[in-house]
Amino acid sequence: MKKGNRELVRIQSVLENDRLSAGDNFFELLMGDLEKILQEFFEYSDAPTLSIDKCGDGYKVNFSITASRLRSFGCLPK
Amino acid sequence: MANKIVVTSGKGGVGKTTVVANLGIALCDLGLRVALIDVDFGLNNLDVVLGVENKVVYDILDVFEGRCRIKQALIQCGEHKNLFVLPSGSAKGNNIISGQNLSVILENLSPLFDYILIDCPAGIDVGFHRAVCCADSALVVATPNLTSLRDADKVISILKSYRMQKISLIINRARGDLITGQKMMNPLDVQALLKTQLVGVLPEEDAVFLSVGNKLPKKCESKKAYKILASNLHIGNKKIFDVTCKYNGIFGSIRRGLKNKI
Ligand SMILES: Nc1ncnc2c1ncn2[C@@H]1O[C@H](COP(=O)(O)OP(=O)(O)O)[C@@H](O)[C@H]1O
Ligand SMILES: [Mg+2]
Repeated sequence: MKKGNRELVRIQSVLENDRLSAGDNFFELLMGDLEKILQEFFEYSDAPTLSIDKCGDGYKVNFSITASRLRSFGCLPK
Repeated sequence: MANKIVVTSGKGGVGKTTVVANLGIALCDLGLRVALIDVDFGLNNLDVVLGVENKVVYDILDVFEGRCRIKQALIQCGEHKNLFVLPSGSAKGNNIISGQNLSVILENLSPLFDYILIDCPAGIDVGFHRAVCCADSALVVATPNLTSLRDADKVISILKSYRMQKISLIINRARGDLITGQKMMNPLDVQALLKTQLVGVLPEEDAVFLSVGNKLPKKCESKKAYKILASNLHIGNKKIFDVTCKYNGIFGSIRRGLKNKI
């Protein structure tokens, strides 16, 4: 492969990694914010799981929880 | 009201100041009124690149601290009647002038000009944010190599959080001989990689390096490339200067061979 193309492939993979590593505390911040919302709507015991995978030009973000029940709106915590 | 454009890059030394100066001249040649603002406090060079360093009496800090009016601090650039530069002073400005202060200064200039080009400092800290928050759109300058493109990608993602009207890409120091020989990345590939509209490709040219403080020679390639860039920006043309055309065909390959030997 010519040097120009080699560089292009290399920079592609560097940028892919950079774009995925969203900075310190990204996951903690996101999980913290999501949990704050989810706790108001669901009862669940296991911590939610989060996965971010490369998908085409962007990323597929999968978030999942197993809830034991949905909170009814009359009893949302203050 | 002026179109306020910040010229930024993340990485230092890729040609921001050079682009601000020469793009300013090219826009002025289109008959537009242009102000160039140096906000690289302490590492200011725009006055030198434009060859007006001896005319500096007041700078942006003097404007801010009330020692002069904005119009007194503006320096008119030689034969270009409608090209002005507002120089930046010492590093002291870094601690004194906020983004909001700068915005107020630019708002005051806005009715007098068609374009205000802001020469942004390198890096992505306070100085970068101060320059960026005053602009409507951004030109990201990058050279076609790994480190510069990586920084450009980061800068573009930060710029997106500012909700700019437009973020465009300029590839500087492109070498037609290396691109034709596939030894340097092609600007169009870089455009796809950074997912950002390419508005200009500027050749690597000794004339640029040697012209600091003087005009670019009329016949040099860079002069043409800046002219195309200026009309892309102003009229919305989508033409890109072809740095490789000199190196195609039989004569081109001889030229490439000669250049490789040097
Ligand atoms: N297209 C070019 N061809 C040759 N030299 C260039 C080119 N663009 C910039 N330079 C040179 O590179 C150096 C750094 O440019 P400068 O505009 O000061 O970068 P920055 O403002 O991004 O730090 C200067 O010496 C300048 O003359
Ligand atoms: Mg500079």
